[in-house]
Amino acid sequence: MDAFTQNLIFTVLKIAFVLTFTLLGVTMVILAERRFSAFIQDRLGPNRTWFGGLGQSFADGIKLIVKEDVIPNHVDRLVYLLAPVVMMTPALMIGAVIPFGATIPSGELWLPLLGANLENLVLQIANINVGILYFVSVTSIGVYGIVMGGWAQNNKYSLLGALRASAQMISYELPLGLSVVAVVLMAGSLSLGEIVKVQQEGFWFILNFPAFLVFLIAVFAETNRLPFDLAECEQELVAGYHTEYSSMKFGMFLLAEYANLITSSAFIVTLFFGGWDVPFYDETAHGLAGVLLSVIVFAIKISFFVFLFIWVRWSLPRFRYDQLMHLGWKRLLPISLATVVGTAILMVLFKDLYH
Amino acid sequence: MELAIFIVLAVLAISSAVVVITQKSPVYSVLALVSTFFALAGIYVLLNAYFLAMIQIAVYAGAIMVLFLFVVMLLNLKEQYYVENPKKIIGGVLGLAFVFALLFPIFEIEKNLVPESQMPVGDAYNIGIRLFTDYVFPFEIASIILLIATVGAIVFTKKHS
Repeated sequence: MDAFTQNLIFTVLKIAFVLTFTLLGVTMVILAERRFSAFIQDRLGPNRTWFGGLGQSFADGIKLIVKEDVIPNHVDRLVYLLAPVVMMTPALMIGAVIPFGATIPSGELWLPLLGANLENLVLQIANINVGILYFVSVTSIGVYGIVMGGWAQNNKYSLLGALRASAQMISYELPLGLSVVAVVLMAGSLSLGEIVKVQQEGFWFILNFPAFLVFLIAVFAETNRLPFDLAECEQELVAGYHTEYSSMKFGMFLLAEYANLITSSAFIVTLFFGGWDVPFYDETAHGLAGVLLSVIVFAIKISFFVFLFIWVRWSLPRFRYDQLMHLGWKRLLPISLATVVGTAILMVLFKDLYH
Repeated sequence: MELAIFIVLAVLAISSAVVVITQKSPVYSVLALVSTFFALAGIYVLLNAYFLAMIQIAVYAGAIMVLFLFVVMLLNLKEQYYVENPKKIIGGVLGLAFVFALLFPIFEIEKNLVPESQMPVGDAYNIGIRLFTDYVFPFEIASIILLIATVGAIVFTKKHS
């Protein structure tokens, strides 16, 4: 088998791995969120299905799929049906550029039918040289699902939710992009593989704490999680943009929210916590075992941030709309601009130390 | 393979561009325009212009069109807007003139073709070098124009005291 065919098959396997990881992750995260919120509120949470509630999300999934699928008469059918798809696609697309493990050297991995890998196997679906821009652009199109869904349902609550979502996304994209610029300055590259490599050889970019803080807050806003979930705000807007969705179409919105949660955590880890880098350990030292360890460490780091997302959601109240805009434009934007300038100045001052 | 992808993208771009101007509902027009931008981004990728493709999606599809959609949804125009005849004719004439203006460079392209092996990669490095050396003047002018537009927009929103 020639290297090209083998690469093709490995790429398909990598895509399958990332999708499986994300979707299985979603079911686990939903369960974790329900159990942990129950803990915070001094309840028990779902603990009966399978072993201690492990099957709860699958049971819920089956319930959502077999439920009656109602399409209200007053909706704009085409946009209404398209919205859950448009919501789900970007959430799954983001995984394509995340490096999720150390490179497997040629000849290390042996699979039945395929044989040993002929070339170095990079554990990343596509190492494009504009990886970060890909992240920024794909998160920015994530808002279309919400806006289309909100508009198509033809009622004022959903429309208000959609309007809030679009204004919020545009506002928080600026600090998000600018804090990423600080990381790009430090790494000297837009490619995510390169960013992880620079962190592995030097230090984790968490040292640029202001950039991390701005990025974290902006990511919370982009994923529409509490305290930023004004788009669905149940006290004011019933359920916001997914009020009139039922059955699996509602399930798609739910899936997309949690898939976004996982990919965003993966991005926080990749940009600021060294990606799959295992601290004080040379991943290439023990062959396949080292690579496996790096993948597991990456998953653990992601879990930590998913946990943080859940923790914040059940601890903080929701913002008021004017507070949201105030934070975005008058606080985060100046801070992120200052971060970019400050990072640039520091990099010039300590150039010898750095490179 | 590349040709097949190009044809799919080109057909998508042109057909959604036609939908933009024929659709009566403004929201549908905006969504069709978004799909045009996506097809264009795909064509940029085929031309090795990765940076441009990503910026196309992030800026046009991700920010500008969301604002368009925001305004259209806020005004909630529902197939009631139409253009009167004199404006239609003027628009048609100007549009045709624009098409002819675009046709000339298309026939000039043959002369400037570069073999694929010599084609530069449109990544951030190459674009940055070009932007800050050869094209630094237009770049700065563009930024000043944008600044003026921003200041103007803020002035308009303030009430005269």
